[in-house]
Amino acid sequence: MASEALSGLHGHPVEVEADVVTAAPGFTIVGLPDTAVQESRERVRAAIVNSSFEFPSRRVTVNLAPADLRKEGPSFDLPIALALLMATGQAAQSPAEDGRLAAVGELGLDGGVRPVTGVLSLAESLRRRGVPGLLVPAANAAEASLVRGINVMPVHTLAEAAVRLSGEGTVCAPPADVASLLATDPERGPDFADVVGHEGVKRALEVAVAGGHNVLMCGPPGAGKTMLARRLPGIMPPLTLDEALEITRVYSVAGLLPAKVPLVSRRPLRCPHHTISSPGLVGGGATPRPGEVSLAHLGVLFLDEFAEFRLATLEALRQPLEDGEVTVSRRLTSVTFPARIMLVAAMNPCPCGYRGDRHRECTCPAHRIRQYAARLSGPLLDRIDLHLEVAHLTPTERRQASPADTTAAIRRRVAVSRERQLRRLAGTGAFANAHMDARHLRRLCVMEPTARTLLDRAYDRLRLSARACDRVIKVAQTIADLEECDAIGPAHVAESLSYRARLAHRR
Amino acid sequence: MSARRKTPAAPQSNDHRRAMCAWIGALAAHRAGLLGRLVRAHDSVPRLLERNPRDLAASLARATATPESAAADPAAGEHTVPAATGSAAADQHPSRDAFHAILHLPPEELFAALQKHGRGHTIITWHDELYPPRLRHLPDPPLCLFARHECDEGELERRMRALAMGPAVAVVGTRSPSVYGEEMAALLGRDLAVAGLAVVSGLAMGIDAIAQAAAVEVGRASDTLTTVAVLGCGPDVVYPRVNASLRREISRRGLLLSEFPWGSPARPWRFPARNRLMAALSQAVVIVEGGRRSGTRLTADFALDLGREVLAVPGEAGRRLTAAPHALLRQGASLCESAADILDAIPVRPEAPHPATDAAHAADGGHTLGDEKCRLLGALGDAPMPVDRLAERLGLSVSSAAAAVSELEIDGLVRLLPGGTYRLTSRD
Repeated sequence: MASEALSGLHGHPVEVEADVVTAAPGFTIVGLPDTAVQESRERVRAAIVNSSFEFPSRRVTVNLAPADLRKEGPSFDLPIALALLMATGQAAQSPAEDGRLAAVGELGLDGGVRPVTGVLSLAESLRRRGVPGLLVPAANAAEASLVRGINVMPVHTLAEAAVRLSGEGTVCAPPADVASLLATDPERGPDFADVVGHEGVKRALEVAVAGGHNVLMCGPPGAGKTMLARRLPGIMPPLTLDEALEITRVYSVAGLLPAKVPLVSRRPLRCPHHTISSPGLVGGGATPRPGEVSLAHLGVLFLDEFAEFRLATLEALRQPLEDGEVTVSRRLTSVTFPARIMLVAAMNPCPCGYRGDRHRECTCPAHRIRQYAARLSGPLLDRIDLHLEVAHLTPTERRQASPADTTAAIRRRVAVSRERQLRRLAGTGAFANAHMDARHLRRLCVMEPTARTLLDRAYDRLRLSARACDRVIKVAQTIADLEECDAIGPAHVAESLSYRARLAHRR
Repeated sequence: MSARRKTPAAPQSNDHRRAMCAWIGALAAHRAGLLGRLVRAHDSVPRLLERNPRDLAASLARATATPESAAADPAAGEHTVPAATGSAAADQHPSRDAFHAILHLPPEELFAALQKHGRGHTIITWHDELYPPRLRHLPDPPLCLFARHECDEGELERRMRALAMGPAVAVVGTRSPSVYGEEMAALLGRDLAVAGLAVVSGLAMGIDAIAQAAAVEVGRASDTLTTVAVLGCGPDVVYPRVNASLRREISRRGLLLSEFPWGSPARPWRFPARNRLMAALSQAVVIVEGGRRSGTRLTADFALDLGREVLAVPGEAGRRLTAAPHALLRQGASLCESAADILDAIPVRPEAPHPATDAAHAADGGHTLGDEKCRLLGALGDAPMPVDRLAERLGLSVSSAAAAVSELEIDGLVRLLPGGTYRLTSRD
């Protein structure tokens, strides 16, 4: 019986063999099974009996080949049961034209077939192998049918699966209508037009999203940082099918796919609490599972109360921010999860939160302000391209605020800007300005001479570092793309400079 | 540590020298309590010295020799005078060991021995011509000052003369200033230094350090003495630790003075003493920010007693940190909004601003500001405001406003404060 094992986001072929000999009754599973797979024995035995089949009272040995690959999780229940049934002659696979069927699924004691995680990756892997059909738990059928090129056969019980094996009952699940799944109503979700004022911050966030730049918002409690962060996924460009599948794969493996919805169609926004552990943030655990960084893949990772995160936990973010993926190594294998995120961090300027506020006094003694600033991770701050101050609005400002752009309008502008970026960056491996490295910058960013002079003067007068200069150019390029200009002009550079990091926070 | 090579102007007999050495020895043995009693007994320090130096030397030598009187002294608990062999606790500064060993020499050889040890430390005694004349106004002036300097002797002399003859202003304030206080301290420190004055302060965290850092920055480009730090601890003690690099800069480019000898740790009772020196050395004292019970009130009191001008920087009504300045203003201190107010208050006409520093922060010569930028400056001249309000007020898009104000930042005409508001850097 063919099946598939999940390792990270990939599947490995697994062959389930069952051998029944006349000897003292026993049931062993070999092939590096973990605890859940060992427990399969009980589930399989009960399921077979309760499905009106006969469980042999002889010595049964089940091998999950290859023998050096660790088998984890309950998804082998169904193939083991089917292999056993075939070995005792109670079921048979009809000789199909193009090969054998595969099966995955957990068994309940009553013979029912239960859903498992990671079905999307398993189905894709089987399809690549050329396996023609897959028996899946009915609850996973929608997810599996996202994969074109493989027959998906939903089963509710073991008995039904046995029937299907022999080729009868050719009801297959239809391939999913991906287009309609993707085109969810974009008006759902919070709208930027609801936010009164903060025009400067909104503009900066538009720039950040357009270029994929990481953002740090600094301001007193209640100023609106979280409110603005929640609206960010709405202005990000719509997902392509491949992107949606990438996200769905991760969520499937994590077991977080919502029941009725097989495909994730909106960019994720993850908001981990600042007490999260390193494995929780970037992935890990005994069985490697995706962390918040991977769950935010192609979306926004929002770190609220940035200064409260433990330094060690934040340091773990460096690899994903640099490479766009996370590699978790274990003794026998290493697993890679994707993690291309836009990082949005929010913090207060000091422990009480009101330093620099126009209306409330800061009550922190100087040494506590210093300690607080020293807690921030220098290398991580270095990877943040835009530093924004978000202040409370005065009542007058709130009254006078002019009508704001809607999320839809901003998203359109962002999408246009992304188009230009993709065209410019074709062939480089980067897909947004924020991911350009120094080489790309030199080669691809065209600056007008006046812009170049302005930048040189700023480098001098404002004592920028070389890295800061590169960041300024990247952001200026994004601004130029938003304005649909071919070359970076001085106004773009000047605006980009207004988003740079100031040392005042670290005084 | 070295003695003055030139002969001092005032005649100094051997007795005086012996008395001075005994005094320094007693200071080094941290017998400040004893010395204080002596001063009070004789009503003033100069009279103490002039009246009968021989007796003074003898009584000091007696007093420092006996351990019982040592135990009674509040300061003596800090370091015990080591035995004649100079054995010392492991944590004592190495030069202090040598120093203590020297103290057991007869007074005549004291100064000579001091010359051999360590460069960068100097004692300036009461008789020395470099002793700041303004300090003599005090009813209880220090008999000697300890200086720490990373420049040569000649340079130190030049700076002490500059302090003696040139204008000096003390800038003091709270250790935990608000953003506004920080801005004002930096502004005043910079502008005073540009105008050629020396900024006197205590190297404390907060206002002191910010004002002195700004002044040192200006002094980097010019030769004038821009900053004087008066310490509440020994000249070799680094306190507070966070200001270590500033302290080093000042010892290189300015003056680092203390009335307490090497090894004196910073103790609460030393700071009021230091504050009186700050007030005495300056012609005016400016309080930038302070709480109701701030130590700056004390410095202001000293200044008033000495007849120095007292100025205070106002702030927003009702804030905690404007309590001290506003209280002083109620009592008649002058209002200080900028360095110009300070310059008006002191009688000495300052030197012309140094050309190098002037060009450094003026707008680029010949760079005419566009119309938009002028309007921006006008708007900010009314009040500091964030980018959103600027854009709205001038009818620009947020991105244009951000770009324009950014260029003004490069020109040095505006600054972004924590909290997101932009403000003008100067009021011209």
